[in-house]
Amino acid sequence: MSNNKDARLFDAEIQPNDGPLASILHMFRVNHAALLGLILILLIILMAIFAPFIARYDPNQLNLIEMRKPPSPAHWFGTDDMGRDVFARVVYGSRTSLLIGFVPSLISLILGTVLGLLAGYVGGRVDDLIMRLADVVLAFPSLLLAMVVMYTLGSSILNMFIALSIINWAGTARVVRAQTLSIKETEFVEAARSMGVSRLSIVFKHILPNCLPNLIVLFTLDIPGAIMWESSMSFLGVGDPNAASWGLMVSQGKSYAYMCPWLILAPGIAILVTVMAFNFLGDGLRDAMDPYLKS
Amino acid sequence: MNNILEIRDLIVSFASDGRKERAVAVNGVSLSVPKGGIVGLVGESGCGKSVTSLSVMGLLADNGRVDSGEILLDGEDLLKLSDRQRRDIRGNRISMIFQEPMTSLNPVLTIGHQVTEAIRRHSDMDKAAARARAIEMLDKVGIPEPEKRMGNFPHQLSGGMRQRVMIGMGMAMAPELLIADEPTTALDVSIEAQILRLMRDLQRAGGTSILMITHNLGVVAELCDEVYVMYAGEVVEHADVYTLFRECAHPYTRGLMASLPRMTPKGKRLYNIPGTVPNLRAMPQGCRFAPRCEYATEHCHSEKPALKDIGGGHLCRCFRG
Ligand SMILES: Nc1ncnc2c1ncn2[C@@H]1O[C@H](COP(=O)(O)OP(=O)(O)OP(=O)(O)O)[C@@H](O)[C@H]1O
Ligand SMILES: [Mg+2]
Repeated sequence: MSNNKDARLFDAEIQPNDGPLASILHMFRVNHAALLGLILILLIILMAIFAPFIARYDPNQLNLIEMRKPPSPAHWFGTDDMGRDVFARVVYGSRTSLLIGFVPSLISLILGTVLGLLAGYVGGRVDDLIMRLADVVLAFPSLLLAMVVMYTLGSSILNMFIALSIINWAGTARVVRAQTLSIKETEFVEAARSMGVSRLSIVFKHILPNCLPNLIVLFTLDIPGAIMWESSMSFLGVGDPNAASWGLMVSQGKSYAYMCPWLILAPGIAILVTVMAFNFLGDGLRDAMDPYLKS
Repeated sequence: MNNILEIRDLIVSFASDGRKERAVAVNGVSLSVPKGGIVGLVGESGCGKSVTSLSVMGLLADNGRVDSGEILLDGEDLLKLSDRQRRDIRGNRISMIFQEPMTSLNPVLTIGHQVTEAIRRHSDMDKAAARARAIEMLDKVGIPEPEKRMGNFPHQLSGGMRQRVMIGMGMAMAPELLIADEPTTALDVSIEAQILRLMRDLQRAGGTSILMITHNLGVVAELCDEVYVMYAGEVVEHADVYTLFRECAHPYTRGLMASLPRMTPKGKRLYNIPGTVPNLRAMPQGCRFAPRCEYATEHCHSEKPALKDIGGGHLCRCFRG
């Protein structure tokens, strides 16, 4: 302890640490894989937004004269079995993949967070009900679960959202519940209660922000998961047959894999790069958030 | 009504899973805090000080409940109020300050956010007015550059500063009663003195009464007008501070006094009350302190002494009187 109590009291102990944001910025400076991930993700997002300006061809334009042409200056990634430009389809496919990555992850994140908070804070029967439901979802083979949903509801993007949300909420709910349980016993929650703060405010204003670092990491890692799911399901033939998606392209190109490897290489590499970019970013965020995940 | 707080025969028990009978943590405690007074509540760890104060706040853990008794705030029984009414009282008419300033502020919310929230909860001030009030309170509790501190996160402040923030937050609505549960235990001695001085200044300026919970008799001597000594869930002695320090009557209180560190001759060990606090579920039949008391007789082990007046409002729970 310092002898000069005034210095100790007033400024000496004020730490340079400025919270989660500062540690994320620091992480990007040190962790180049995460920075690369972030840049790639931004590029993919730009590609999705400006697809019409990047691709010279309509991704769905059939051209039966130019079928299965290898990569050339005219068709950078060649053409597929119906003469469609593979480059254009990869560029436009990023829209489907990002949509599939973000939307269901967001739905399951919100659903899982609300249910997790409810289970953890209210406890008792509500907790039992929600957690048993989560156990069932987690115990069920998820690919099977997704396929059952898609078969029952039909193959469309919307149903894919539903299937993926059903798979993913349970993991989030578990994490949020566990965190809620520990946060609600903390002294700052008791102090907030001693100030007369209502239950709703405690849950959403005091507990939820403490879960945010965790939620950001979960969300970033759910996205590549969802993109992989979409690819798997499209490959297995239960995806939306009308959406220009990378998974569907691989699936359609698999019969020509030997003769025309570009048909599966182009979308395959697109999936790989996107998924890796999100994983790099997610891992980096997890490291940066580590001190906040525990407290 | 001369007392802002009056607790009458409070009994609080806890359920524990797997057991039928409940553990009684507070057994018939009566105490009162006069308006504008500072009352100390002392006793060893586990004697029920926090449980008593949490009962007043209405913040007992889910497995705890008040079995009987009354808790009167300015004559009104808090136990008869609805949850909502009690919530409206918390942070408004009664505030509480906790032991750990390091953990009693939410780490992810700014100081300003938390103080402002507390103010807006109990007033219809708009954001700007509440903010101004928050800055005023931070200034009042001696935080330098309060406007700048509003945007700080708790980890950017030292423990003493955080405790000041907690006090400022608790005092923002000018409560009638402030309950401080060991507010300085986690701080070092020089900061402790500053915080105690701050509390006394605020109490003098605002007329807030304080219930000061501590196991440190030094703090009591420094700050309080009167004292209740608790042992194993019961009040064993009550007197004003001068009487207590001059002629404490209960052997337990004497033990506490003797274990106060002071200028002892070199080589002499600090006194320690022998034995430990009895288990809640295995209380002695007679006097609860008897197993540890050097004066205990047969009588003490078989019959329980009542809390009786030994002159001038000095209460003591001991046969020796
Ligand atoms: N939620 C609970 N469930 C079961 N027993 C409890 C609970 N809270 C407190 N107790 C018991 O009540 C008794 C009194 O506890 P209390 O926290 O009031 O002690 P204290 O006097 O404040 O001690 P300290 O000086 O350590 O803060 C203890 O024996 C404790 O084990
Ligand atoms: Mg305590």
